[in-house]
Amino acid sequence: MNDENRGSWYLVTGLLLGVALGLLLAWVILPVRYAGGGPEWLTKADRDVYRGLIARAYLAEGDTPRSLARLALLKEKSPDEELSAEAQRVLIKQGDQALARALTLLAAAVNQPMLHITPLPTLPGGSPTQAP
Amino acid sequence: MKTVRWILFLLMVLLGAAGAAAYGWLVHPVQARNSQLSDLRADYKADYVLMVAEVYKTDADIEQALGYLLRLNDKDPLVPVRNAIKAATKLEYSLPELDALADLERAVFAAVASGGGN
Repeated sequence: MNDENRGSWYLVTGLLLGVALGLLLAWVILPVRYAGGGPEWLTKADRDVYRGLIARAYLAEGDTPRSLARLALLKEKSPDEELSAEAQRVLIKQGDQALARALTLLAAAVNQPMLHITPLPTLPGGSPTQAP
Repeated sequence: MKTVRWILFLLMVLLGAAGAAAYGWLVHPVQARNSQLSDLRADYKADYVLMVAEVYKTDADIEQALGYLLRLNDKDPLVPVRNAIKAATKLEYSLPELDALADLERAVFAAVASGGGN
């Protein structure tokens, strides 16, 4: 078969190949990154950090409604399960018992919103690195 | 003739890729959870820094506080604290919360000045 008989199918093939490459680029390799959004758009790693900080702040403040409101910003289907799973990961990978405890307590608060904990005491006289 | 066909083929690939990329980025972007903490909106960042300040008040662990703050700005941990104080003032945070942020700012400043922020 010579070039003339093959017609213009190679152009259609090229176009389809280009479309596939373009979609791969836009949806997989370089997807749109949402800046200026809420915590629900964070990567898994950053969600873990955010969740851990909420749990630490919960221990520090003892403010259950506020901590649950912060947790709700992540818009997770089962926040208690996410917290428990992260507590296990933290214990296994980092051995950070304080953080694991905070995550577990917050998971309990998700199931019992009326839960009341005593906040950790504030250190007297500020921090060691505080300016005079 | 063969060269012309190759050039036309590659042009069609480029045309298809450009069109599909524009569609994928502008018309129908994928709803991926791929933002970082540094991408958060200013009010969420302020609350994040407030949490760091609240935790710092109870454990005085400046290294841990710096670790959290460097996720908002990997060059200077003072920047997110100062931005948070501005946002907190605008959003009318309570006085104890503003005090906690101010304490954190002093501690971070001291740590950075002594070389702990690197």
